[in-house]
Amino acid sequence: MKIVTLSTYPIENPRHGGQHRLLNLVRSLQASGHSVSAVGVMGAPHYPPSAGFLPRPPTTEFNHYIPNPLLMDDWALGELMALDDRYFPRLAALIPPDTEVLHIEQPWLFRFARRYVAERRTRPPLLIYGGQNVEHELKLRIVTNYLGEEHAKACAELVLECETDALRHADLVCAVSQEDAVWMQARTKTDVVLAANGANDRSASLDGIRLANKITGHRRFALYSASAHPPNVVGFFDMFGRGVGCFAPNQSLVVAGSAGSAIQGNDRFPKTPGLDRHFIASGEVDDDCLSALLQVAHAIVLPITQGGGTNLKTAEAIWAGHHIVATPLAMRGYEQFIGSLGVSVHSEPAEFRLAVREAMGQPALALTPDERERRRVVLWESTLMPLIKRVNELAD
Amino acid sequence: MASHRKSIVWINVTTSVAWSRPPVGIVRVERALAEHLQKALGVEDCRLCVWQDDRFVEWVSPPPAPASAQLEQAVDLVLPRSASFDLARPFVMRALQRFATEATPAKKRDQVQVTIPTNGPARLHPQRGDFVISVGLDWDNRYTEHFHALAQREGLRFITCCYDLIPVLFPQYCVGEVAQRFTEYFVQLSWGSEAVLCISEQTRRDYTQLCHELGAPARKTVVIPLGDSIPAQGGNIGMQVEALSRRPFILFVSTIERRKNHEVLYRAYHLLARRGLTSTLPKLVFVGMPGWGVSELLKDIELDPVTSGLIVQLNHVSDSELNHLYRHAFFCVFPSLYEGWGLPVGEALAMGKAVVASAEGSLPEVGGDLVRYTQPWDAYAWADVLQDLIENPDRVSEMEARVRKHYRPRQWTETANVVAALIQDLSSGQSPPISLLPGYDMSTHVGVHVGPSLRASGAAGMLAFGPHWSLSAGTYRAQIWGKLGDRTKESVRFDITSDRGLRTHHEERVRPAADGPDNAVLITLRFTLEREVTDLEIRCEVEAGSALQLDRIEIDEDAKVHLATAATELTISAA
Repeated sequence: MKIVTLSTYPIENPRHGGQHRLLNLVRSLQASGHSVSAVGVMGAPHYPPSAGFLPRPPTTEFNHYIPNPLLMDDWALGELMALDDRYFPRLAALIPPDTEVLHIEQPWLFRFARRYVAERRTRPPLLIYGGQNVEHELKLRIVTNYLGEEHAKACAELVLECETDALRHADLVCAVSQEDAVWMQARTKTDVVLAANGANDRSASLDGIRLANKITGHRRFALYSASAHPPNVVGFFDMFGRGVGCFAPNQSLVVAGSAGSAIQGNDRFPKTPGLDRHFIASGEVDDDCLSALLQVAHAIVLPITQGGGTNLKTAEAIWAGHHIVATPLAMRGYEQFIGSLGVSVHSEPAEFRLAVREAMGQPALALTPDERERRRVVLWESTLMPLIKRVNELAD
Repeated sequence: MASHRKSIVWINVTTSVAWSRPPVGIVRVERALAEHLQKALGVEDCRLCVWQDDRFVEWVSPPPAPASAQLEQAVDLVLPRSASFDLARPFVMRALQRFATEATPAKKRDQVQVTIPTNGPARLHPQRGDFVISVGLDWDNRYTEHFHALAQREGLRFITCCYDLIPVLFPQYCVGEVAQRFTEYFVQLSWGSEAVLCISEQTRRDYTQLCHELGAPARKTVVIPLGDSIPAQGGNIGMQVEALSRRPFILFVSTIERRKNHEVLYRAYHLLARRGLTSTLPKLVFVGMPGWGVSELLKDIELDPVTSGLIVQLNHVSDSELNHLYRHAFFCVFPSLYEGWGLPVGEALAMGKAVVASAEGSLPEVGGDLVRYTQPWDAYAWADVLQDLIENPDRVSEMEARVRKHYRPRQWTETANVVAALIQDLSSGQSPPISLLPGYDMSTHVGVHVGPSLRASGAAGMLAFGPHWSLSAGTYRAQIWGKLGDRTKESVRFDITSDRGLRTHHEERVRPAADGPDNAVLITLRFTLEREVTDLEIRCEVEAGSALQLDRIEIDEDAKVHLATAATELTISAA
């Protein structure tokens, strides 16, 4: 089948979880024999130019749809693409006319897709809605953190309408966690297929390991790999904001990804006792270096306290085979690994920190071959399989 | 790890040696613990040390130099003759002597350089397995941040002290934003200590709770009783103190700071004066230096016409004057908002005085049921209690009688005994071996650190060297875990050296036989050190193409120490 994915971010050189998910989906579909291309519009100014993607429109364009687009630019971007007669045709022109399936990742561009289907003269493509979260709930929490509850509720209403529309009109819905799937199934007449987030089977080069060592100073460290997505920062301070006494003087907490600078720039950073002594922000690193950080880490922390969906960093952590200290929310979608060797799950910050100290004091985790094999289900090739099968059935 | 030599207990007296201001409780604790622990354990097994040049070295008091009466008087001005300054006085004396000889008018010098003296090149210092007890003003000294590394690298066993968590729990009563700094300090203390002495059950609870909150390791804790430092008598009594004590007065001994809550006493006195009791009120005497955050209170007291002349503040009170004041006080008060212990309450009780205090923090541990407790925030309640005792002196007498009958002053020998018992307890267990993780603890020329392991890259050269740690004289066994792949064609050389690699204690070559299992004992080396070394190295040299990974090294006392030779036993995993 000829499949086009629609998204607000490119998939080349993926950095954040959404990019990794979509890239792996594209690869898996291609591996299954489909012709797949990625199309969309840049949702953030820092994405490098990419074929098939319109540049991000100026923020002033969003003001036609919402007075304050802060933290609502994804929703406003969707409205702009669907309703503005200057932008709609430009995006529509990127979709090959013989496309049979449009996979819309996140709800933002779904309204655009509906208009595209309505206006296309040839056989309209089927629409798959790829929901990464229950978006309106996440939006409520994020906006509340920064702009207050009243404003957040109004924003959440808009997002709820957007994702409900996607659920109502999709030919197939894909969720990333069982909890999300239940919520979505209640709002759609079509099937909801569960395809959790996953991990790549990585291997680092010696140079990558040397670079990782340079970053970490050859210390024993816990790794937090995260983007600057606001919930990642909030979760970090929820769990470590009282202090980082869980780290011995010769241990570090390494943050890989753009979350590092977001955490360092947060007001709470200089007020958190001991944090500046232990905190290392690697910044955004290339794939080889990230693989190396995952390889040489002693523990991986997943302090996720907000957000729906499943955290692909959790899958990465499970596959890495190190000690894991996670919140219950971070383990959503991977509940079968709670209680597995080296996996410690706590929602209370003090218990979380205690678990970090215990993990950092343990010898490096050594998985048995059986345990390693049992964890194979977190690889993308396994997690995306249900969706790939359903798409194949559509082709039949 | 067990050692052939007997462990020495060291007491870090850096605070006392450098102390040149009016004595505070912590200086007294350090000095008293040193004195009484040396009596309990003997001066050979219990020594004093100071932090100098980033290490602890033995402190030996400089021999008393003949000093002129004039110089003695000068030192008396700086540091009164008191047990608290026994360690610091000789040091200041030397400084003044040198100043007298070097800073002549002709030389026009206004400063001299005096270093902390030690007993020369042969000076002793704490060695692996020794205990270091540190109970001084450790948050003001840089050595605290080294405790963890010294424990790891040199095997020193630190016993530290937690006096209170006031800067963390009540930062509003402290100077500046201290909460974060002290939180970090307590974390350092926990990581660097094997045990923590707490001066009250309240402090122990606070410390344990903080560790739990922060995720820091809560070390073994013991509560040490602080001796009631009954101030010495027999010295001169100044005119002001003499005059004060001719009439009844209420005594409050404490630094004047917000937490000590002088304010509630001032307000109570204001209320009592407003009740028309001015003529019957005894003087309220504050003994202590003004601290931070009380300038407005002191101004209020100075300007308030209602209490004018009723509240007296005394500074620079000598020990004998303090004794005199305790003995002549009508009764004592201590309305503090929080305490980690409350030494003045113990002192007052030890002097047989009636005490009215708040019940905050540890104070009930000090006073038990012998103290009359009053809400520290309630000026009316304090006014009522003070009025009751002032108008009914027989009640004061009853309280004093109960105190004299039931209060048992705490002795510093008890403090020393508790610490000695703790040391014995800590010494009784089998110490773990020295554990090295090559990936974190050792260096490489031709390998790559991969987490805790060191992996050969295929180039020839030094795969591992270090960690340059100290080790006492003795015979040891070093077990090395790892994996030697069968791609390795040439032998691998291990040696054990010290003195910057110039002195080799053992050397051995290992030739691989087949691909071995992961994380198995690769080789066991036995070696003898004739004397303590401070830079022990285990080195591993590989040829090109070697596929060697070093995972872990453990060094412990050789169980075969009685064997005449220090032979090497090779245990190649797959051989």
